[in-house]
Parts: sequence; structure tokens; C-alpha cells
Amino acid sequence: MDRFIVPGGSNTDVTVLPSEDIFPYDSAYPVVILADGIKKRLAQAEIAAERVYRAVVKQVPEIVQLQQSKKRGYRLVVDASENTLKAIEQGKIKLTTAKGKTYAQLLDAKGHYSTKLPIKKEVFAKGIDPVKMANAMQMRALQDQIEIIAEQITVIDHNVREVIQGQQNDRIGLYYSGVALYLEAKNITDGDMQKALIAQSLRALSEATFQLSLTMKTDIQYLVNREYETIRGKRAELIGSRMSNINQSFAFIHQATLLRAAIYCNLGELPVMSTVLEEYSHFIEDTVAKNAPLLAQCDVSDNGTENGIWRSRAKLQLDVAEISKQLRNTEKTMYIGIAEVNE
Amino acid sequence: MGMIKGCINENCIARQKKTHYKKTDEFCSKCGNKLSYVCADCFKQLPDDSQKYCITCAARRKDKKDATKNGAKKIGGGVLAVGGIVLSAGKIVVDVMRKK
Repeated sequence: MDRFIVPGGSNTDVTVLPSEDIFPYDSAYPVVILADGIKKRLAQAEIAAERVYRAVVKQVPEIVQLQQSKKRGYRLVVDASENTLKAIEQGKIKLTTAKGKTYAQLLDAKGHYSTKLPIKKEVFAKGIDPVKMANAMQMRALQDQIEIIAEQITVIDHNVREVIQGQQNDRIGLYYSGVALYLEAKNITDGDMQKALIAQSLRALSEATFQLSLTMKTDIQYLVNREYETIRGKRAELIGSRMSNINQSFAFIHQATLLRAAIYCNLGELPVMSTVLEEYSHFIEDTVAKNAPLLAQCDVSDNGTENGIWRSRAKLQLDVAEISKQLRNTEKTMYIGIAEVNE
Repeated sequence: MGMIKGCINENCIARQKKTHYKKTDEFCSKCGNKLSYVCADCFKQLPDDSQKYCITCAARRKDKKDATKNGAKKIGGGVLAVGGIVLSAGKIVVDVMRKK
């Protein structure tokens, strides 16, 4: 059983059940699927890291260099062009040597100092350039950040589950349609059919998310413009009804987003998963964080403190921008923590 | 006008007792937390000193005023209606007495 313990909250300790034990229409389903997907990817990453390490061990000089440099946390790499390397090999030019050490400055055949080669600094994170296992290795390198994001999601998830019970409208219907299609896709044997069903599921979830986010923005605008003032004697009732809609929209946006992220994670599409989470982060920043004081005043269930529902949601802007950048980067260089294995 | 400062630390006794602080006070005398402007009714944190009540409490108060006004109108209408009935009944009594 996975357990996400969230720092700084007594009631935010959430237990996540294995995905087989949970009913698909349960409000906890998306977060469980996502946690499950992340767990699988991390397990794959561990195996991949070990394989890459074994492959690397064969290249002993490289390992020695890495071991020496691990104490500093970086190594310096000379960035020489191919022509320069050929010229060095052919003996046309040499690297400067003094007191038995080699420097990144060239000497021409006549012994004159020539071009200085640029030196590149490479910082060690946790791995070594694994081309075939890039996704798994990325997961390993970004493990800490991913775990932080999972914790943040769990906090939001905890207070939206209560809202979901017994809510119905056409947009919410789209969310359930996405869940149903995903379930069908999981159980189908035909590969093409499975892909088509997953694509439809993602589309339904995406539509549900964006329709609900527009509805939520409209409801917030209604409160910002104080449109409830026009109907005398029913102001509090109108505010309450809008807040109920806003809470409902937020809850299903959260669920649909998590399920989309979970689907991508389970398909091994980590850059897309992080894009989905990044969109969610922007949504919280633009829609929730900006209007948190207003929403806290309008929501009778918010206690109005810094730890109130809306101010807490506003603080939880997911820290996914850096992960997305790293996952989308086409030139990936990763390093294994070799010292940890040898020692 | 009549803005209230209060402690917004949910575990503080000053918040639980809804203790009102002066506008010049900066920190809670019980827990040391920074004070904030709060709603005079529900004690929710307010963004600044431009309002005494939060949006929901202000709306409730206005609704209550409207309800009172409507009630008064209804009572007034009722009194007028009763007055009208009494007047017409009085006229009938006077007519009957004249005929006698």
C-alpha cells in the first residue's frame, strides 16, 4: 500500500490503495491510477539504471574519471571540434603540457601557442547518457521532484473528493465517459482498438476539463462583477449556488486532469504527462490563486484563514515547469551515481 | 468605519473567542501571529480595510434588510386593507342608522 505523507498537515495524510482494489467510479480512482503509474515507472527506472551501470562499468577509464570527479559533483569536458580532434590524432597539433599535466590550449607544429579550446562544465545528477532507456532514466533522475508533485496533488485531491459525491451534469458526464472508455481500453485485446479507445478517452477527459474550466471562470466572473446584487433578498442564496458550481467544477477538473496524466504515465509518455500537469499548474495560478481571497469569502465551508480551502489550493501550484523542460529537452545527458554502487 | 482586526491563526484562542484588536495593533497578544482585518460577523480574513464584512455576510445582511422592508410593506399593506374594510363597514353602519 502506498502512503503519501504530506508535510505540515494533520488531516492531509492520505492512504492510496492499489488500483486493483478500487472501483473505477470512485472519486479516488484518478489519483490511485497516477500513483500506480509513477510507481511502475520508478521501478522500471531502477532496473534501467542497473543495466546502464553494468554497460558503463566495461569502460573502465571513464569510470575512474567519474569516480574522481564525483566528490566535486562535476567534471570539465573539452569541447573540441572533429577537425581539431583529427589534427590532434595526426600529430599536427598537440595539447599543451606542463609539469606532466595536459591543458586545453593547443601547440602548433612549430611549438607556438594557438587556439584555446572551450571547456564545458557538466554537473552530475544521477545517471549516464542512456539513449534506449531515456524515459525510465528520466524518471529516476527526476524522482524527488515527481514525489513532491505527487504529494501536492494528494493535498488537493483530499478536499475535492467530498464535493464529488452525487454531482451530475453534462460536463461531468464527459468525465465519466472518459473513465468508461479507459476501462474498456484496458481490457481490450486488439491493439489498434485499444489505441483508438485510449485516444477517445483522452479526448473526452480533455473536453470535460476545458468545458468545466470555462464554466468555472464564468462563475467566478459572476462573483467578481457582483451580479448577485441585482436580485434583492436572494444575494446570499445566489452566492452559495455559484460557489457550489465552482466547487463542483474544480473537483472534476482535478479528477479529469489527474486521469489524463495517469493515462500518459501508464503509456510511458512522460513529457506529455508533465505537460498535462503543467497546464493544471497554470490553471491553478490563473484561476484559483488570483481569486483565492474572493472565493474564500464566498465559500461558507472555508474557514477564512491561510489554511482555508481556497488559500491552500492557491498555494499548490505544481512545481512541474522544470521537469517539463528536462523531459522535453532533445539533448539528454544523464549520469548514474556510480559511487553509490561501488561503495 | 468599524473595521475589525483579529487573529487568523486557527489554533489561537483569540480567534476561537473572536477577540477584536485595535486598528493600531499589529500582532496577536496570545500567539504572536500577525493580525489581519477580519469579517465582523464570521471572522474570515479580509484582503484590506475597505470592508467590514466578508462578501457572504454583507449579502446576508442586505437580504435581511430587504426582508425587513418587505415585511414592513406587507404589514403596511395589511393595515391599509383593514383600514379600508373598517371604513367601508363604518359607512354601511352610518347609512343603516340614517335610514332608521
